[in-house]
Amino acid sequence: MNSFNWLDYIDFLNNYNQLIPTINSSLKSCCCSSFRSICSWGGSFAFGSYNFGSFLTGSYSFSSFMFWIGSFNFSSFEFGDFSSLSFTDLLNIDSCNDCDFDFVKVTKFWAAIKGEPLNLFGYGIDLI
Amino acid sequence: MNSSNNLNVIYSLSTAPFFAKKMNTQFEVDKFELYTAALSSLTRQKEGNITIMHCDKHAYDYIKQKGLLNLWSEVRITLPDNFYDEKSQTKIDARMFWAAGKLFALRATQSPVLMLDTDFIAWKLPKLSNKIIAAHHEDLSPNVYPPISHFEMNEEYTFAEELDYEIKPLNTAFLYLPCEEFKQFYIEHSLEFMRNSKSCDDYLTYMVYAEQRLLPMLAKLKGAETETLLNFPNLNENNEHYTHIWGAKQVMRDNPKELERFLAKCRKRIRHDFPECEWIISKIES
Repeated sequence: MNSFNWLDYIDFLNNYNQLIPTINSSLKSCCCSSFRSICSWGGSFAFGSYNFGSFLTGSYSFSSFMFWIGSFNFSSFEFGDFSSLSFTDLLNIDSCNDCDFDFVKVTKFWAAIKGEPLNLFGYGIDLI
Repeated sequence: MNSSNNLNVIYSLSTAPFFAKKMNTQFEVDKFELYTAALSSLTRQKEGNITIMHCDKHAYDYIKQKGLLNLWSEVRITLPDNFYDEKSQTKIDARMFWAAGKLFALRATQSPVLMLDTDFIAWKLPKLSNKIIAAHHEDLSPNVYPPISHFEMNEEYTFAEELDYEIKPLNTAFLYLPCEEFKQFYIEHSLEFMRNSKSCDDYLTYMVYAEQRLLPMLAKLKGAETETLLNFPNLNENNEHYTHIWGAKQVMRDNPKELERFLAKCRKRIRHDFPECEWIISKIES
C-alpha cells in the first residue's frame, strides 16, 4: 500500500501543469485505445466503494476529476491497488494518433501520483 | 563462497562514445550522475570493497580536473581511446557500442568482480556465491531485442547455433562475475560481435545484444548459473537495497525542477552518511 503524499501531488501539479490541458482535451474528445486503457487503469485504483474509472469516462473532464479527488483529505487515505499497475501495463498503453494522449504523459502522471516521480523511470530512487 | 570484503567493485567512464557524436565539444558528466557515482563508490567502500574506476585518458583528465580522483580507491587508465582494441588490432564503433568501455574494464580486472554502472547504487550487496548475478531480466521486446536476422554482420561472423535465443536478457547495471574463465568467454564473444557488426545508425539493438542478451545465452551454454537482484518488471517491489537512475536521467535533463529535487536528495544523503565528504559536494557543484 502506498501512502498518498499530498505535498508530492501538489508538486506534481506544479511540475506537470503543462500536461493537464492536453490530457483534459484528450479525455473529452477521444475514445481511442489509450483512453480505454486509462479507463481500465482508472478502474484499477478504486478505494472503498469509489471507482475512479467512472470519473474518467462519460462527462467528467480531467479538471473535475482533479477537483473531485482534491476535495478529499488524502492524509488519511492510502491508495489501494494503484501500486499494482506494472511497468508492462504502462508499456501497453499506446500513443494515439487522434489525440495527444501518449505514454510519456500518462506515465509521468502515474509516477507523480505514486509519490516519487522518478521511480517509474528508474528504481529505488526513493532509497536515496 | 566469496566474501564481499576486499571485493573489487569496478566502474567505467569512457569518452569515446561522446567524442564520436560530439566532436569539438567539452566532455562533461551530468551532475546527477556524479552524485550517484559518489554515493555508489562511498557506500561500497564503507562496506569494505575496493572501488576502481576504469577510464580512458580524457575521462581521467576530466575526473582530475573536477578534483574527484579520491572518490574511488583507484582510478586507472585502462580503456582505449576511440575504442581501438590493441588485442585484436581493430576498432569498435563507439557510436553503436557506447557501453563497450564496460567490457574493456571487465577485461582489465580479475574475477571475482562486481561491475556497477555509475548511476547504480548498491546500498547492500546480496550474498555472493559462484552464481553470476545481474540486476534483473529484461523482456525480449522486438523493438529492443530483435531476432538475430535483424543484425547486419560481416561475412565471417556466424551466430552460434548452440545458443538459446529464447532466454531473456540480463540487465548489467549490476553484474557480478565470479569466474575468470567465463568472464573472458563473455568478453571475447561480446567484442567479437561488436567487431563484426556492420556500421549503421542503430544505437540500441546492437549494443544491448552484445552486452545484455549474449550474457545469459553464453552462461547457459557453459552451465553457469545466473540470478537477479530484482524481479522484472516490478522493480520497485520489495526493493530495499538498489537504486538505478536509468530512464530518470532523461526526465531530469528535461525537467530542471525534478533535477534540483534529486540533487538535493543526494546532497542530503552524502551529508548524513558521509559527513567527512563535504568536499565531494563542493567539487561536484564547482
